[in-house]
Amino acid sequence: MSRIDIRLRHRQVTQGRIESHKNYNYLMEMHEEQSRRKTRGIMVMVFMAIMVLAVTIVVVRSCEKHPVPQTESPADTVQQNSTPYDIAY
Amino acid sequence: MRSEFNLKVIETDRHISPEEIAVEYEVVRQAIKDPAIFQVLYDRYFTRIFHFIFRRIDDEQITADLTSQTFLKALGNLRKYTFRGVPFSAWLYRIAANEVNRYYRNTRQKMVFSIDEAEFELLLNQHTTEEAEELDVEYVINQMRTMNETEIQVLELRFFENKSFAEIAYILDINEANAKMRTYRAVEKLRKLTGRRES
Repeated sequence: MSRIDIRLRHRQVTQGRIESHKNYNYLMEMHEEQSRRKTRGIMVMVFMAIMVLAVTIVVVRSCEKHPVPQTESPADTVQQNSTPYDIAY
Repeated sequence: MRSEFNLKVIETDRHISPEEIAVEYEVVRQAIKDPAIFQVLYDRYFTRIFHFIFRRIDDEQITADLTSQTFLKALGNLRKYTFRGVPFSAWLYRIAANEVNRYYRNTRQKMVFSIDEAEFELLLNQHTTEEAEELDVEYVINQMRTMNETEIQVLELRFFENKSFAEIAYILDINEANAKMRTYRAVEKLRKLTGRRES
C-alpha cells in the first residue's frame, strides 16, 4: 500500500487566489534580511577566528618569554639520595 | 533593466524552446548581479510551482508559505545554479520537492497527493485508448493507491506537469535513461492495475 494519501479534489484554486499569494516585494525583503543575517554570521565567524589566532599568538609568546625550568634528571636524583652504604657496595 | 527580458508566463504550453532556455539562463545570470531581475522568473513560474506544491500539500496557506520559501531559497542560492540545458523551472521544482519533503519530515504527517478532478479527467481522456474509455477517475485513483511514492512522483512530473525526461532526471537527480525507465515502469504498472478490472 502506498505511503501517500491520494485524494480527489473537486474544488479548484482560482488564479485570482493564487495571485493574491504573490508578493515579490515581501520576497525581496526576506532575501535582504537573509543576506544581512548571512553577512553578520560571516563577520562573527571571522572575528572569532581572529580572536582564536590572537589568543594563540599571545600564549605562545608568553611561553617563549618565561621558559619552563628544566626538571632534574632521574640520575641526579638517585645520586643525591644515595647513602654511604650505596657507595661501599 | 527588467524590461529587457520579456518572458511569457507559462501556464498551458509547458515545453519551451532551446532559445527561450538560453534567454532564461541569461536572466538568471543577470539576477545574480541584480536580484530585482529575478522577478521575471518569479512571475513566470509562481503559478506552476504553487500548483505543484498544492497537489502535495492540499492546504492553500501552507502551499503559499512553501512557494515563497522555494523562491527565497532559489534567490539566495542563485550562484550555485548550474545550467544543464533544461529550463530554470526544473531547478525550482527540485527545490520545491525538497521543501515539501522537509515539511513532511518536520510535521510527521502522511504525504498527500491531491488531484484536481477536472484536470485528471482531461488527462485520462488524452492518454487512454478507445477500449479503456470506460475507466472512471475514482477507479483509477483507487488503483493508484497501490503504487509507491517514486512511481507516483514520476507519473505526476510526466503527466501532470508535462515534463520532459531530461527535466524529470534533473528534478529527481537521476540520469535520463533512469527517468525514462522509471516512467515506463510506472505507466506499465498503472496500465496493468487498471486493466484488471475488465478481466
